[in-house]
Amino acid sequence: MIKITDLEKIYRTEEVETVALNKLSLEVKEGEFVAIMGPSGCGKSTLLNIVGLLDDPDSGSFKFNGIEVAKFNERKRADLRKRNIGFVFQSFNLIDELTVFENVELPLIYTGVKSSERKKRVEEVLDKMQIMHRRNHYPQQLSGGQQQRVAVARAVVNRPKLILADEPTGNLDSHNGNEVMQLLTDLNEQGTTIVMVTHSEHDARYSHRIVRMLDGQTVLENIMV
Amino acid sequence: MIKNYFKTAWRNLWKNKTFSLINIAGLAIGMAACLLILQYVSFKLSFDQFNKNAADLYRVYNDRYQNGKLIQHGTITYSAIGKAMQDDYPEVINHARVEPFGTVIIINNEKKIGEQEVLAVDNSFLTMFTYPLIAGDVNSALKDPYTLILSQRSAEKIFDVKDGNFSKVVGRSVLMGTDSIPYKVTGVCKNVPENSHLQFDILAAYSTLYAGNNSNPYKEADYDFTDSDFWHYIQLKHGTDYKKLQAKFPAFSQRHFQGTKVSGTDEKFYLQPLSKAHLYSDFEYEIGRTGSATTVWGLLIIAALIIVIAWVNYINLATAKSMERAKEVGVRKVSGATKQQLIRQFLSESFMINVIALVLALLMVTLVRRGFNNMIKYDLSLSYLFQKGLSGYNITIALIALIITGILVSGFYPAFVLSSFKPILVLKGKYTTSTKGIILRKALVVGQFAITVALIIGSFVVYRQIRFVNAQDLGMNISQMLIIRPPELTNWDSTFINRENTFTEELKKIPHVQGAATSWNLPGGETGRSFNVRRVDQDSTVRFTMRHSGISVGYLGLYKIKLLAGRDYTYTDFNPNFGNLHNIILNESAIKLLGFKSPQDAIGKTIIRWVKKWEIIGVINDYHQKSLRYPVEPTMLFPAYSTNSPISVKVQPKDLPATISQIKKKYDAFFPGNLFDYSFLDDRFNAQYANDRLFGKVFAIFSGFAIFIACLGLLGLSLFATAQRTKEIGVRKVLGASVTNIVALLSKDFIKLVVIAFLIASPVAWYIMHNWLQDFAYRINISWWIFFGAGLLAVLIALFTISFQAIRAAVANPVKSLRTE
Repeated sequence: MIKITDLEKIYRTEEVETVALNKLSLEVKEGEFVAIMGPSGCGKSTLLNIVGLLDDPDSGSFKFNGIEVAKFNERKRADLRKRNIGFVFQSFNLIDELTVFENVELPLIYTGVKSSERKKRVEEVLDKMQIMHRRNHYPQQLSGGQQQRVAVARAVVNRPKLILADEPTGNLDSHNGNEVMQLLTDLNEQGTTIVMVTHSEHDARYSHRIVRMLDGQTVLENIMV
Repeated sequence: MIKNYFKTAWRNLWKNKTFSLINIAGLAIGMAACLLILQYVSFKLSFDQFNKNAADLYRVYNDRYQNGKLIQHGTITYSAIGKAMQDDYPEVINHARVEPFGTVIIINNEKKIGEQEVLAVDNSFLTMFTYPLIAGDVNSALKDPYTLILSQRSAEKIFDVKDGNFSKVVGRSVLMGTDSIPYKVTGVCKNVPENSHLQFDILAAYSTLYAGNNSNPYKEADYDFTDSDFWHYIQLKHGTDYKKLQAKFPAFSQRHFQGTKVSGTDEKFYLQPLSKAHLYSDFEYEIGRTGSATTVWGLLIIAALIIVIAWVNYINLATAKSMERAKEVGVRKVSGATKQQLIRQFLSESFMINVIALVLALLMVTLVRRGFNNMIKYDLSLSYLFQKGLSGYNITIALIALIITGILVSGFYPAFVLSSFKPILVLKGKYTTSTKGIILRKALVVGQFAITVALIIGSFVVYRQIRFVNAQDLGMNISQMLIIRPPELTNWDSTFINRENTFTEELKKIPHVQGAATSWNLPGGETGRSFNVRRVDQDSTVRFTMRHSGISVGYLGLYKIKLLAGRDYTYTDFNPNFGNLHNIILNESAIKLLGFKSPQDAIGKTIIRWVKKWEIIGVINDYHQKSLRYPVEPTMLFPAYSTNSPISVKVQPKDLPATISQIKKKYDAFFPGNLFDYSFLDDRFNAQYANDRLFGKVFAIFSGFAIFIACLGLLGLSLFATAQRTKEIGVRKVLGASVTNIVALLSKDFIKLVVIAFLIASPVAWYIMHNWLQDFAYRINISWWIFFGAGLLAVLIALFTISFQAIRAAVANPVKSLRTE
């Protein structure tokens, strides 16, 4: 599904040049659950940015489902992104002004799904995440675990092939954290590919494979049993 | 999708109530101020546009030169000019002569109606201009002498028409002033619109001046090249370039005036488009309602500045706020929003805010309409915005364009900034403000405050100048002077001078009356001109021009005009027959113009005016006959009375109603049949500054608005800045910073901006106000302290605004703010 070869990304300011990704190569197969680990500043976020089609690399190749997307413009990237990728963040990132229902509905609006169909799909996914009863609440009225479930609901409502999770349990206690990890595992078992950035060895154990990064490169891969 | 945009926008507004309030209030006040000014400006620009032929109508103006010097610049000219132009040039298809009779009393049997403004006009006036008749025939109503057309209002007053049936007054007769021949009413016209530069209650047939049964025909009024006492309007063939026609006028002047041979002066003729008559008049002997283009354009600029300030506020607050919206943008982006979709979202948001503000602004305009109209003395409404103006519908179009641009620009920038955020960074909270954004925001604040400082300086200068002209020594004392209407219905005869002298002597016997005298013209009024004055020992080709007026015994003393040499008039200097007069008093300027060494030197010398000799018996100081916009001119004062001379009575303010009623008793006894009416001279004199005062007032009020809006913006920004620095403040306090330290820290940045704004604004304001002052013959110097004061005021206002937030942040418990981390 993802085939990255010799990917480079360099951030430049007037004084310094930071190599965020240094000839990085990585492959993720459809249906895989990959965890990416590494110290702060190793390029994890940059990689997630590029894989999530939010940023473009300076050089190298990035094939998504066999299509070369490294040189895609913003509009094409956005188009591909909204049909194929869902995001889950450490800090949930729900829009405070929108209700649970409206937050989950958002990706469907941007992909142009009809209102009646949206309602059906949002309710379906809220039901699955067991937060249906909270549909008309605002994010600040929910607990952290509930918020993250809403965020996961939002990430999957569009039925993406790939979910990118950036430290999804970082702001949760262990109980809620485990619940979220279980959700992700369930999704993966139903066929969704998952790429997760994490600092937690515990969380990483949910994955099939751990990719360790240092200074913009992958240094080690552990296959989980 | 749109629904989602508006939903988010609406909830955002609710969530940040203070911010939204500041934002919308600023915009709404800005828009309201802008609309108020714009309706006034469009009203001013709409003058005379109601005339169907407006584009083809022109008034003739005439510059007269003597010894190479411009001595008269007026719309006043010779009676033959209009006809001669039509005869000479095929481009001129019609002309109308106009002669104002002034305010007269109309008598219908026993009923006397005063204050009727009468213009004598040719019948062609009715077809050239659009003052539609409700009754009577446009083609013939004013053909015959001693006919007149009443305005609806006058007809109602004079004939008590209440049922709207005006045709019944046609054919009736009235008397005008002391004229013994009745005038026949031949028509009734609609009331003159407010935006007509010519204002009248009654139109009389111009031919009355020289034809019909007139016992004293004014021959020069018909077709003459020597007496320049008439006004002309001409109509050009549609599409004629008036400047090309104007270029032929030197030949016209040579043909009819043969240099200075015919009239004694070099004559130059020009045309002024009717649409400019109201705003562009620096003419002497103006008969129309005039306004100042400088004022109108000045106000228009203020309006634009205010709305710009308001929008700058919006941009500033929106971008400052953008950091809080960054997360939302990130989420929307990862949910599949494209940059275009985000821009559209934030544009619809700014559209919504602008629309709310506009609705509020319209509401405010409606609420303050009455007060504003009272101040400017016109009955205006927003409908004027859609009237055809001096430049077509440009104002309306400009207004709509301005609003659209405003919404786009004020919406685009924040939209652009927001939509460019890098989602992952933002969502991880690693958001940093770009230096570009900060610089821009600072530049906007500087721009806002520069405008504000310039407006403060402008207000100071206008205020100081108006105070200066009011406090200036006029060279005469006009205070506590009661002015009584001239006994114009009394016939002039050889006994009149005695009667008036006895009357003024009688007045002095009334307690609290200190003196009384009469004069042809009151201070502030326009006096006549003599174009052919010289010393007796000078060659007859030498010609000087002077102002002239007639005064009664005691006038100089009453007004405390100083005698520099010689003596004042006594009873023996006067004579009912003007031809028998021979003594004259001149002012200092006149003496200098004639070339006398000193006032003393002039006493006893003889001068010639036209052909008649006069002996100088007194020289007085230069006093200001008119407002300080104009210089003092050489002036000669005849010892002469007139039934049209208003009576000046110096009174003590004590028991005024009783004093006035006693004056009225005597007036009615001496001049039976006249209408008693009075006014106060200082009001009349100061009315000359009415435009300037209005300008000053409007300037100050709207500068206040501008300052207020700019402060709202500053408040919003300081709110934001302190919120941003909560942690820093906490750390500093923990480390021992005092409240004062913190307030200074927070204020410093803003004050720097205000100081930069001041440095930019000062030279610009100086330049503009310096030019404005050039319109006054007597003016203040723009001193350094005006700038200093304006700068200080701006800094204080800014400090005051910021301090709210700064102090709150500074006294907050640091432990709390540090915990939020």
